[in-house]
Amino acid sequence: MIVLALNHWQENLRNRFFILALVFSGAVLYLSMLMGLLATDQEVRVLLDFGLSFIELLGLAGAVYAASTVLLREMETKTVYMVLTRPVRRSHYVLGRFAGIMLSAGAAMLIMSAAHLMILMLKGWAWTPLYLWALLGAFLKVLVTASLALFLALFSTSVLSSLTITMVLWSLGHFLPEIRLMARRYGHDSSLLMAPLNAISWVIPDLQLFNLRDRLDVPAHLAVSVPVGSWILYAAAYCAVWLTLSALLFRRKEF
Amino acid sequence: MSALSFKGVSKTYVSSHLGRKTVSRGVSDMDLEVRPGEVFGLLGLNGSGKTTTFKLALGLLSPTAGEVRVMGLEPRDPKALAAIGFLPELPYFHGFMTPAESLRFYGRLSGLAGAELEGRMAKTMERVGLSRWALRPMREFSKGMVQRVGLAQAILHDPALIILDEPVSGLDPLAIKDFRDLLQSLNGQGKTIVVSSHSISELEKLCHRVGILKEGRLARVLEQKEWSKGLEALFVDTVRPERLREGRG
Amino acid sequence: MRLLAAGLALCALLNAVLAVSRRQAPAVDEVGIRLDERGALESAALFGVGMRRLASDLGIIRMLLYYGGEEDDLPVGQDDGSHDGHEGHRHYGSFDPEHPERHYGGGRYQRLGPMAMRILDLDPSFSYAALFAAGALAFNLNRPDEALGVIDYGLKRDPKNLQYQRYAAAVGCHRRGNPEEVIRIMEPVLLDPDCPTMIKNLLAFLYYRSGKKDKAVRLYTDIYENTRDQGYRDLARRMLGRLGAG
Repeated sequence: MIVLALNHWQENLRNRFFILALVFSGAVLYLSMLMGLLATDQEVRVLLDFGLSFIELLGLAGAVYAASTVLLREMETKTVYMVLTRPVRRSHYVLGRFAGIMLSAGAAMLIMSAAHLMILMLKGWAWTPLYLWALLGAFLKVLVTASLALFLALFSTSVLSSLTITMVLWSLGHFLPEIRLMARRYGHDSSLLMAPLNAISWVIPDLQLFNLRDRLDVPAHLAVSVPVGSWILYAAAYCAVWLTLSALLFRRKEF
Repeated sequence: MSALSFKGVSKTYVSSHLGRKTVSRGVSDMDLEVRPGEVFGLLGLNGSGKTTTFKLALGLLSPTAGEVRVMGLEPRDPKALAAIGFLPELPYFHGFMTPAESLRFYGRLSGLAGAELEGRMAKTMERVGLSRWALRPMREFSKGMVQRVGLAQAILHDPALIILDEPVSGLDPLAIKDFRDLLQSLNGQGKTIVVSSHSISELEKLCHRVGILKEGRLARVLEQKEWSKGLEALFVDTVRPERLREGRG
Repeated sequence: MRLLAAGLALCALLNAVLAVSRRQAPAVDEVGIRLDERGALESAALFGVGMRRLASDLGIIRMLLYYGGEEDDLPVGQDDGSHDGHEGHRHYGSFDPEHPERHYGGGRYQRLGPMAMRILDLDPSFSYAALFAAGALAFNLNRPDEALGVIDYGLKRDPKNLQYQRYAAAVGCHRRGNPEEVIRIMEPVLLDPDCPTMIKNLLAFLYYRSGKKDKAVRLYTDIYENTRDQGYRDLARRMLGRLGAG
């Protein structure tokens, strides 16, 4: 598994796409700085929010794209044959590739946040450990979403389907509090209409949980306690479900 | 004990599209024994079941009926996989990887590490003629060079059974000769080789026995002495006997 | 399909455990999820990608650009009777720079209050938006009732925020034409790192008007050296020149 994960990491390092993504992230941070100038007194807040948001988006784009394409591409080019005809368990192959994808995404997010922090400090921002929680939250979102993408890629054997469905689910995952509100508010009067929405709300991942960046700068008297431990467990469990199913699916796969 | 054995093996593919099911046969009722230390060739028209046969041997497919054994073990058994080296048709490697990096990766997957791995890598690259290009990115390689890397990853871990799917497809005559020499050298070391090819002359020169597949069935297995007058005629006779009858008629 | 069904069932179980343990993401209020008519698509898009705070940031940028620029509410060609004010943008009625507390009149920048309230819908803790808008409405645009409306809106979401209470008191004093009391109440606001430059500028001007030259010079110098708003920097430089300290 470690060999596969490190191999994916090495491939990404050498892949121009990865380097371009990092360069693009530099451009995005620059854009954040410009947005910050427009906010005058609130420049640092805007820089903080834009930066963290784009770090997450770029990490997500890389991870979801890789999860949707890597295995399918290796099956298409038959690279997978040269791996599976070695004493490598199929489940290890899937998990190792996923670990490599997350290692790459995590490294990219760390590099981008190091640059982001440097810019923030130069602008006079006062460090808070909440930044790390916010980054962790973003990474957990990427982890959960990428695990879904991987399963969908193997299930549908279509990159486009996997990417599309994953992004829809990702978006819905952020709307969960609103979906619950609507189901509660309109559920009694329009139960048939609300039924699909209600059903969806039970299965999609609650990605709002991991938006810990929304809790930066919140005054102490408004802050709600964040059960971070529980939420990390939730992310791990959610991820484990789809990775296990991906491994089972791959085990049964015929080439 | 056979290096590779098929007993009553069938493989059926079922696909469904918009509610309609399509059933197609990969191989039917195949009985095959590959003896240890021999070079066994698989010959057949496109779609005759050569690749399906290989995939069944490698555990990439599961038989619908019958039993496949590699060194007496199930194909997906890690011990069986450790004893196999496989070169797929048209192997793909990332262009920015070097042969050394690729071999290091595959070697580690085979359980090699450290000095043993590095030693095997050097020896294998020497053997396949890649030493000079060990550190060059493979985007610069010709088809023949890529094929050498493919063969290198197949033999790196010193497997007892080497399976090659169309190894000389698209190679120039000199590269073909090099490949043949290498395979003969490997066989000389006691390796069992199973090879498929559209090149009848290559199989004639290389193999001890050749199996002819026709429509998913092992129609005929020929010993070397049987094709002393030419394998081609025997092959054509097997796959299209009606042509022979027309000729006579 | 069985694997997919199993996956969905397990996810439902996870979400159920989360719900039972009350560890779900905090609920949103119905006001917060309303889509603003001017930014419905943008808000929906940002909510959909989990960027609520970013939506409030775009809101503040939009509000600052709105307030810092020429208004586009007037029909073309209509004389609005406006003139340049000490804020760097236009004000209405007859302006007397020696008596700014008497003046400003008119209903310009109509959307300032609603914009601030919308920002609070998106992020109830973003008090800067409310305090900035309330300060502008009360002290620059002479619409204290609107200012108190914004403060009230903020207080409903953040009742323990002392700044709202302070601003409400200052607006009251400003209404009664008591600049000394306004200074006394608002001076502690200067200690807040989030104190809007506009409020600093207002206090500096009140210092200047009440003859507290040293304090005025100190505050204008602070504005000149630290603000990122070029308009306020230019204004501070002019005032420092007038005070003989530039």
